[in-house]
Amino acid sequence: MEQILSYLLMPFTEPMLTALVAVGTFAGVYVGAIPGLNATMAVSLLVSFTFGWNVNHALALMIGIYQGTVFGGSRSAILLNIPGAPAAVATVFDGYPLALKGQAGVAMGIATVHSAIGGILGVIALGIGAPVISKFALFFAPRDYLLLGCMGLMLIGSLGTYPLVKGLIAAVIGMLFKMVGMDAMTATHRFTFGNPYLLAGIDTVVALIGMLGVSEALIQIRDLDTTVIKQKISRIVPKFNLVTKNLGLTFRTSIIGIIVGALPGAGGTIAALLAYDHAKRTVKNPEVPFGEGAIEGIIAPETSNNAAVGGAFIPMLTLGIPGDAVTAVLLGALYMHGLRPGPSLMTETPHLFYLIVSCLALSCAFTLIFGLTGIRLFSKVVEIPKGILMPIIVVLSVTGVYAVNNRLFDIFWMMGFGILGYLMKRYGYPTGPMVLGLILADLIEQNFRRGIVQHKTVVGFFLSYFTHPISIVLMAMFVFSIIVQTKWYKQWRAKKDLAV
Amino acid sequence: MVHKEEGKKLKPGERGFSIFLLVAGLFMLYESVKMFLKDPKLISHGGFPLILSVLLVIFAGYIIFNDRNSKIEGSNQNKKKKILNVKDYLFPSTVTALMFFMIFYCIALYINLGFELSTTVFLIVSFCFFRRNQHMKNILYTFFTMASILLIFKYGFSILLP
Repeated sequence: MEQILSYLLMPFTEPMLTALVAVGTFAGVYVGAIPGLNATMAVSLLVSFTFGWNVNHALALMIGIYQGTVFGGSRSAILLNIPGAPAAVATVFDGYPLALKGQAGVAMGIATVHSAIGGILGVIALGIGAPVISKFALFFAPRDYLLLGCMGLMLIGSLGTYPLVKGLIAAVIGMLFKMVGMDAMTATHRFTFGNPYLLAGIDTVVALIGMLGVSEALIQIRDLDTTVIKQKISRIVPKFNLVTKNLGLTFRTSIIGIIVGALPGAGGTIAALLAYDHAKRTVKNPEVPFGEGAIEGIIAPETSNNAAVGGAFIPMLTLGIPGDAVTAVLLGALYMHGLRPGPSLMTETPHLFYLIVSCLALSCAFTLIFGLTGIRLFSKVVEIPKGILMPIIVVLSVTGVYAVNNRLFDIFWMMGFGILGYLMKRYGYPTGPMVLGLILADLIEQNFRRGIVQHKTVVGFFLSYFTHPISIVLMAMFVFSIIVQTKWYKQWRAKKDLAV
Repeated sequence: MVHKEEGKKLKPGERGFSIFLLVAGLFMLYESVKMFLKDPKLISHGGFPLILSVLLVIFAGYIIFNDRNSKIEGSNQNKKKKILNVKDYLFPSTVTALMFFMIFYCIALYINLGFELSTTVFLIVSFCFFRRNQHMKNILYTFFTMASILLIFKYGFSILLP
């Protein structure tokens, strides 16, 4: 216990860590506030810049950025009617109408306080839940990891607004890109076409920056105009009774956020939408109707999307399966630093787990501080023209890609991924599953091959799923996750909802 | 899975993109089969890529099949107009410009024109293209951006710049 406490206090005793969390959160809050910039892009750029850093410092900065960006998205949702980050999509529904009524300050204050509360509850869930799951995960066989990896890809491909098959194509393309280079198990060349540049494979960070940074810059530059609602913001700190009155909703939506966040492949966006839907169903008599500036319509998504941050770390740290696209990038960062997230992380490097927990908690506190101050600066930041911002993103992407391997050739790879990502987005193919595919390909392939070796034949491997309770439960979850995505289930569900 | 929506309209060039994915899938499948035949076991180096390639072909084929009766936006126009529609949909002037600037920027870096010079030129040209008639502000933005990048990355993070 004493040991755990000392790990937890690490960021508080080391001023550099505190400073990095603060800087990360501060930057994240403003990055998140700018439409078009999101946590995945910011963290993937940071991975390359912090590559040579001490792992604790790199993590502190990235965690700050992650938490800050998720919250920052609410600012432009409220002020511009554009979610600054995907997780703030539901905040638009009531945040902007409230701003139009001249109460942008109230909306921002409520969003800030509940983001911090949601974030803290998510961190508590991570601190308590992860060690338990981690002990449990020690019993997982290769077949179980294979199933979890596939489940992560399936869910991220389907939970968004994209058709499942397009998500699956993106995931398969991501995994195929990861096949390029030397096979880790046999050192045989795959898809190298005799090109020595391809022998080392495609660097994940290079692909990530291209897919997430450059492609987003190309998408955003299409529409240069952003209409800004200018208004005077007087009071931002919300009244105490406004917070206490909605404590029940806050806790319920936190739980939604934690659970959805912990599902491999889900994340803050889904959590926010589900929480908003929950608020609409359960809050019987809101002072203002939902969609017209209901306070509850801001509380629910903001609490939930920040609680999902802590939740998303649970599968990433305990199973090595990312909870969302940002944790997928963070997972890549941990691998780059020579660490192996999974059940052994807790036993081999427990300090790292508790460092992450305390950095997240610290970041929530900083969110509160930075969220309730600097309002004038916020109004200016969200107005930065895209014509200025997007070329800067390109320069940062180029700088970041070069920083990884110091190879100029990588810049062309990044460009290629950027253009591919842009085309995919234009035709409704999500890039998130491709990112996950790139990161999970090794885990899925290695466990697939190990499983077959262990059970001699493919049939034996398949039948082994029915020999252990953990595998049976996971298989049932996997089958269920497929069933719920079929049109028959959706039709049945719609009929049932209609009947209710 | 995806189901056919009544009256669903495809975006300009969407069918072409699906065909491109199918062709890419078939090419990967061909390469995977070649690898697989060297050691025809699923646990070999060619086994997993073969599965992935087959999946890509199946999914891309499914999308093409599913969209076979869908109309394309502006399908009643002539071929030249259709090509222009695809061009406008994918590459409006702003996107084309940024892509060109990016390509020239990367080439400039590749031929060792230097990070400072290439980046300054890239930024100023991009800013001036996207924000015309604000040249003074654009120069100031460029100066400020360059100074920040050098200060943060070169001197702060000690990162080797291209």
